[in-house]
Amino acid sequence: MQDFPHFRTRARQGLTVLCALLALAAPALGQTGGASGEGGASAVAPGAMGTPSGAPAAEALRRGEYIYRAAGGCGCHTDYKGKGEPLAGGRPLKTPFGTFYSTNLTPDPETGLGRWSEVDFVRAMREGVGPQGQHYFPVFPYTSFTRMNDGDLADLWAYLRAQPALHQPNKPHAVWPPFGWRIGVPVWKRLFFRPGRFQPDPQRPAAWNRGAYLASAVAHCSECHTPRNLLGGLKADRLFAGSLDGPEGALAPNITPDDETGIGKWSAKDLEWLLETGFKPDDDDVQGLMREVIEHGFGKLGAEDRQAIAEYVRSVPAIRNKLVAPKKK
Amino acid sequence: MSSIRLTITLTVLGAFCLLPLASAFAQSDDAYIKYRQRLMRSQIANIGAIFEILKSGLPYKQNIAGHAESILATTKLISVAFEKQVTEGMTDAEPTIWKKMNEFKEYEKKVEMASVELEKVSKAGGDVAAAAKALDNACNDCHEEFRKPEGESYKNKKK
Repeated sequence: MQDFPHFRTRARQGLTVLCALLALAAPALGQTGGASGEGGASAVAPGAMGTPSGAPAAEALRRGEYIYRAAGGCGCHTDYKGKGEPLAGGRPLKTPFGTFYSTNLTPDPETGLGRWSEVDFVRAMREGVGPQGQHYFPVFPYTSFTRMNDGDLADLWAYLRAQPALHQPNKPHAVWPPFGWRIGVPVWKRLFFRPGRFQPDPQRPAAWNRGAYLASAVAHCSECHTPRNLLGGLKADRLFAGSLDGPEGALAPNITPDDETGIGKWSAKDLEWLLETGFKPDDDDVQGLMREVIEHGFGKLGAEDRQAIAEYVRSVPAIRNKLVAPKKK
Repeated sequence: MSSIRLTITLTVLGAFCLLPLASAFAQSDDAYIKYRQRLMRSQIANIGAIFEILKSGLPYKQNIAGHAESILATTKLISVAFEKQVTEGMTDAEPTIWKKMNEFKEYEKKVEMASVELEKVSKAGGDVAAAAKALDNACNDCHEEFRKPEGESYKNKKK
């Protein structure tokens, strides 16, 4: 398993800051709902979602599967290494704050999403709030999914509902206090979470906007490739600059168009090919979670969508950020 | 006293005599690593060439069968290259290879089967891209298990 030695000092500092913030923000918690109480007012109106009018169920399922692929095949919810069942959760997600275990997304009524409504699902994706009003830890990337459009969320829900129900109870997270205290999540959200749908840039071509939507909302590229601050918030001014604290403790490379430390020397074709096959222009393959994302997700998208993602990623500001893995002690 | 001096002198002299021998062993181990890496580079060069033809639409499709033949031939050499356990030095080979040799050989078998399939498809006609991706995946399965991850590679360590 990976370790995060360089993060420990920063985590201790962050812990102090978070405790102070919790004390300061305690009154605000009453406005947003407590950690496990019934949550605050939802921005999602019941019935606002629903399957697009007139769309046949099979068509919605097909589109839902496509969105599922664009989201990287929701690989965090399948414990591939532990030979787990698809979408049944239980995958350990090691982070600098401890180990989270992904949840069961199958329609099992006891352990999965079987008793959820579509409104519950949309609220979780858009606001990071569960059916009982509990705030989800941001290891669940609702910080990105909040930008997804209504139709895609409805289709994704239809697809998930159509998967086989698997009875597999969720495992409790093993996260250090106070990061494992759910009561702190509303504070974290106030600081770092900006809910709202994706806003296209009218100055940019449609393909760029499609790529921006897919990369920033559905594929949630930022969650791994953008470095985080002491409290785990994404550093917005360092978009895609890479992180030593990537998924499962692995290094997530700098994917900005910087010539020396990023992918500035890659052609558009190189990036599209990587998204299709996992093969890099330096003749090596991606590994770990990104490999799964490509194998179960991006590799099955239409070529035009991979082109759109490549167009967007190549357009973000170049950031010089050489990532060198620390020596293991 | 004199016998103690003689013992010390002989020990020191002996150590000096053995030094070049130890160095020779180290060089020999490096050579094993270099050989393994050259085999792998040869594989990746051929797979990379096939992917370049497919990715960029180069007019060299007739060359793919040649690359596939080279891959198959080199695949058959991998087994011998990992018979000797060498884990120290500029290598990303995980020591677990030699602890789980049967598992390693299973992966190797899958790579060989995928290489045979690629060669067959490239000559008989068929979905070369799918066969090449399948081979690349088979290689990657083994790398996931038995090659150090990028962040831990000797190439990326701070000096």
